[in-house]
Amino acid sequence: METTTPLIELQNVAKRFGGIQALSGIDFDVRKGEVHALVGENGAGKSTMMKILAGVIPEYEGKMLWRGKNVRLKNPRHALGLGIAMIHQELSVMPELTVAENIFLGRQPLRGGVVDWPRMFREAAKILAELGFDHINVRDNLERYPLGVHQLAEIARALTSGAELIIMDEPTSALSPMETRRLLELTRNLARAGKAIVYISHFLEEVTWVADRVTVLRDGGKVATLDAAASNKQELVRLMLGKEAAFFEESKLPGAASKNRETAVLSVENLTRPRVFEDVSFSLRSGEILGLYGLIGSGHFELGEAIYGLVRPASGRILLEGRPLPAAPRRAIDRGVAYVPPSRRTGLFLEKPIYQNVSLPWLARISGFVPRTPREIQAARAVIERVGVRPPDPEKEVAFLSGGNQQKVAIARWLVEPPKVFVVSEPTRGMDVGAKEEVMKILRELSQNGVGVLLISSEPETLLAASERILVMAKGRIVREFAGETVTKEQLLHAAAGELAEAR
Amino acid sequence: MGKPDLSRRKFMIQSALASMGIMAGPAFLQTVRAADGKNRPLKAAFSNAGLQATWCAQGKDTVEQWGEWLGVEIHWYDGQLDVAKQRAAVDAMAAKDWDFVAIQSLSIGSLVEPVQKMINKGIPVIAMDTMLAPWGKIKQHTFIAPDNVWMAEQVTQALVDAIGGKGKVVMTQGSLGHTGAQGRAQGFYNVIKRYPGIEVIDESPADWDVAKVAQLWENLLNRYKKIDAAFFHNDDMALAAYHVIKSAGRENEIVLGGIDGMPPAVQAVLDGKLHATARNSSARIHWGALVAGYYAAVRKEKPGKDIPEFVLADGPAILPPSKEKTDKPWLLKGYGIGAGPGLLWQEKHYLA
Amino acid sequence: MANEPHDSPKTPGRWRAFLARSREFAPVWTLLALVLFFSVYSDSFLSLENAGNILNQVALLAIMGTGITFVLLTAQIDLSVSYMATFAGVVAAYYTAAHLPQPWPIVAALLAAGALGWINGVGTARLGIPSFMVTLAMSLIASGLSLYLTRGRILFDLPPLSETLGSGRIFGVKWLVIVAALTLLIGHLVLKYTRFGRYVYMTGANPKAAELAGVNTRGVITAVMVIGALTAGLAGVVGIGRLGSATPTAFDGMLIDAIGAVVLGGTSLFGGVGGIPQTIVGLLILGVLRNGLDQVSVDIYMKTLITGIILLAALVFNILFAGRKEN
Repeated sequence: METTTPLIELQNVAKRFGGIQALSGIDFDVRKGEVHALVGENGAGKSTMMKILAGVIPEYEGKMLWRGKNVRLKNPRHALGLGIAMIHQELSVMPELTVAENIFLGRQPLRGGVVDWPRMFREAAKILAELGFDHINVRDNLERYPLGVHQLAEIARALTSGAELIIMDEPTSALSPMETRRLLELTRNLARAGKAIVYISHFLEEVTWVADRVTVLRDGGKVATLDAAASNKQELVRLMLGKEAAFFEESKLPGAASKNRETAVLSVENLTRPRVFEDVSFSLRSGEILGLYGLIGSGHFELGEAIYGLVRPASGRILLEGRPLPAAPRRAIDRGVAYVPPSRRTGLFLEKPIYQNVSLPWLARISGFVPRTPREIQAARAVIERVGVRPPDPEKEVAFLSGGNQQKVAIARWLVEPPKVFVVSEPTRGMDVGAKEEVMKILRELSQNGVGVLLISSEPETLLAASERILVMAKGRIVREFAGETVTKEQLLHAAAGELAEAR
Repeated sequence: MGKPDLSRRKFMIQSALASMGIMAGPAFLQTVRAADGKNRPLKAAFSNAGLQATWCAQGKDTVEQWGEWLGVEIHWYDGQLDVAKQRAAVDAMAAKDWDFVAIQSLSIGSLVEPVQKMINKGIPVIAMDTMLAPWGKIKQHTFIAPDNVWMAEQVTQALVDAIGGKGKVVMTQGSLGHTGAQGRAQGFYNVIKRYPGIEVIDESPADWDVAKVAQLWENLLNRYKKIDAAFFHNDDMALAAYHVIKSAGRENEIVLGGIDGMPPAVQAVLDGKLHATARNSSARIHWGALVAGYYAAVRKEKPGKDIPEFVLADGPAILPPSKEKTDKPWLLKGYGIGAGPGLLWQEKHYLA
Repeated sequence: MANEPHDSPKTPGRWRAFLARSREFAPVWTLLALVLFFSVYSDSFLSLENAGNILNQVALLAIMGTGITFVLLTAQIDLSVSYMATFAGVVAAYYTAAHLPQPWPIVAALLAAGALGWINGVGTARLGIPSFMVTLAMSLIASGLSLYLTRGRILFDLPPLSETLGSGRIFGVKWLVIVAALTLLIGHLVLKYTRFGRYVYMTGANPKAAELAGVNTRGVITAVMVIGALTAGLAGVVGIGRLGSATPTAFDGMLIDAIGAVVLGGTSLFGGVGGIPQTIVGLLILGVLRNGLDQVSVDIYMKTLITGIILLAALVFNILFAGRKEN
């Protein structure tokens, strides 16, 4: 009985936000000892469902059963009391506290009213050892460890609080491949130990590897629940999108190797910023999409920032159309360089309307000394329609949009006056397959119109989908150039990680 | 050892002359030496409420001028109008050795610990203007202060006389917790209670803050269509209110009085803007402390025996010159001239 | 902001639309409630003359508040404004007493305040010191300079222009009120209708994103600190005219009221949200409160307590009406 009665079960759950039906008719259950993955495009209803499971949204239609009994979660604290813990995408750890404190955050063991430090350290070390991470010193500050350990601390916190059901929301989005692997193994181990896990991720490969069952959501409804072992990526994508989609495991790169400097719109020569990137040289031609691949921390994002003038390199030169480019974003913009940062949060004003986000770099040109809102709105409407922002209402706040549409705004801004060089960092991070493809289409169109695109990413699929050449960075250096050949994801990873191993 | 004696006698004579209001020029004086036989000038530390206050700045100037004349080296520890900051300053003062110290405390009791430390080291501590601690709690050398009650009584009486003993009267107070303000309020009530025809219509505090006074008085002028007289706990507030009253065109309706007798206020009395003020003699309190300190350090005057626990630093009430014409001026208050012009001269020369 | 799609009301009815709009105006309701309260409980509060009075009383705060609005919109703070006002007043009076021909003492006062503001700006924007600390240090510097110039004395020689603007009238209206209104108006025009104004808002909303969009955020922050100092200087220069003297502590006590009025109106301490209209409402709330309490008979020992309670109530009311941020 115990194995067949689900730990938690949703029956015909629905949720409306004003006029929008966010969820409808959801049946979902998780058993003990099982990893149940939840996949779907952004806006498919994953986060709403997760919030209902964790007690964040207390008002919904339908029933929730916990260990076979009807419950109505009042708030996250109530959920936690029952044994439901949620690991958010944005971690809620305190890097400046010790690992042990983070594990026992808010529940430190006390003795006579003061924190019982020895006991806390002892128990923290014990739980980490059980999870197979006994090399971590629980007395060290968390900030001394990489992000994977931050995640681990949060999972350990959930376990020590007695969680039976753990909801993981995009747990690997910020992790390196090595850390991702560890986390996936840990997740399996937890399931083996009898915990129930809801695993939400865009990375379908991880999902098929880690999950027992997969539930696919689309447009707020459940499409199917599959046995993970019997499913494959293509099938999941088809279910998510409701149509077939091209998938990039490998690509024949059409570009020629960068020997000819004369046609370069942008050349980077011996650019160095110690300990970030060193002696980087390459050139970008007009109308080319040049991929720049690297694992997180290999300096490729920082290189993008340097080209745009956000940071000043210690030595080396950046030439735009043969003339040096000074280190100042304003000058870069004026000379035709556009830049999209890897994080939407840093690049956009979420609380401001779309048109203000779009017009900011161009205020002087759109309307002179006095901003003229109608003109700004007009200019913004033109570009957001071009990239397909939905809804295409320039007066809506950016926060109103889904993640993919926010990213489109960040790109659309630079189409007001077509740039000569477009530096785009991680344009598809956290996006679903459909939105990814749309963004790639925009980049391809730009390049066809003569824009030199520098596409910087840690996601091989993204690069393989659009690049004509791919440079691989590791430890701050360019270690490999792929051009005019067929390249696979494994080759990219190997180039980046292999060199990484050597550099160590 | 004859020489120090000589200079001491000289000092005595001259300070006596000075206190009678005769200028004691620096040319008459020689440097006083400490009585311990070593050839060094006396070293004294002073602290008062805060040099942002004109009255305190005047005290500092006085002490420095007299210190120069008498050869006493003055070290200043500013209270910055803040109890905590003054405490820190006096803590620093107590870490050093002095021949004597003089302190105007911002509030009773806030400096007891460092003061006690200095007293234990045998340093004479003179309290100026505000008590350091309630009577008997601390063995200070002496307490030199004005009489707030008496000053307020004089000014209030002058205001009451000016409006014929009846009418609507406002008192604008300093800050409510301030002992000086409490004494001045007491003096005000002492006089007012004898006149049943007088109605006190407002007694809001303005915390000695001129910007608050302006605000308060704009509201009072709006609320009360008739105000006969107003008593302010100091001159700065009275003058700020005068400015507001004048721009409302009601300066002839309201008779104003302040306290402190600072030069701008004395001048304002002479010009007819204020009706009265009473001199709270910063100079007398400060050089009084200097002189008391000298006698304690050099003549070993003992508290309670050679010097009483309270010494009044008196100052005159300043009223407008008499309008009466007479050939017997000695029968008129202040010889018909009043204390004003003479006080201005004395203040300029650090006497009163 | 939640990531959930917002409620897009299709059939809200007028009442809901009205409520939704009224949230933005919560401080206005607070203001109206205070006016109503004092009108009932005081017979001298509700008059044209007293209304003029209130305007006159908040005028200096308004001049200072204009600059503070700029500063807060960029998510910075300036704790030195009131001290710079005192300093500017002292400089104007000092050079008048030194017989510098007019209007140079006033020019000198504004330049001096502007220079201090520039140092605030450079410290904050270029050196990366939190504005809280730079301006805290600057408050001591300004205060110290005032003290040094006056040597603790009160200066009574004022520039005639200060006297006129501080306590003169034209067509029955106080110059002080006109100066304040003009300052607010110019501030509003700059914030709403210039590129610089947009940069101020965007820098406050997300400094990193503004920098990425090519905004010279350091320049913007330096500029708002200078603007804050200049309006403080202006407040000092006309303020001495209002008080009839320049004392070395004249306007020091206005700091909390000035920042408080701006925040009370709804300008965020965290930048990007607010503006001059909000500041005006905040000023009036504070002005009505201070004025009204002098018009009703309140135990003087209770007045400060009551002021605090009403202020707290107003803030709670603002929050309740604005609806707590949903998560």
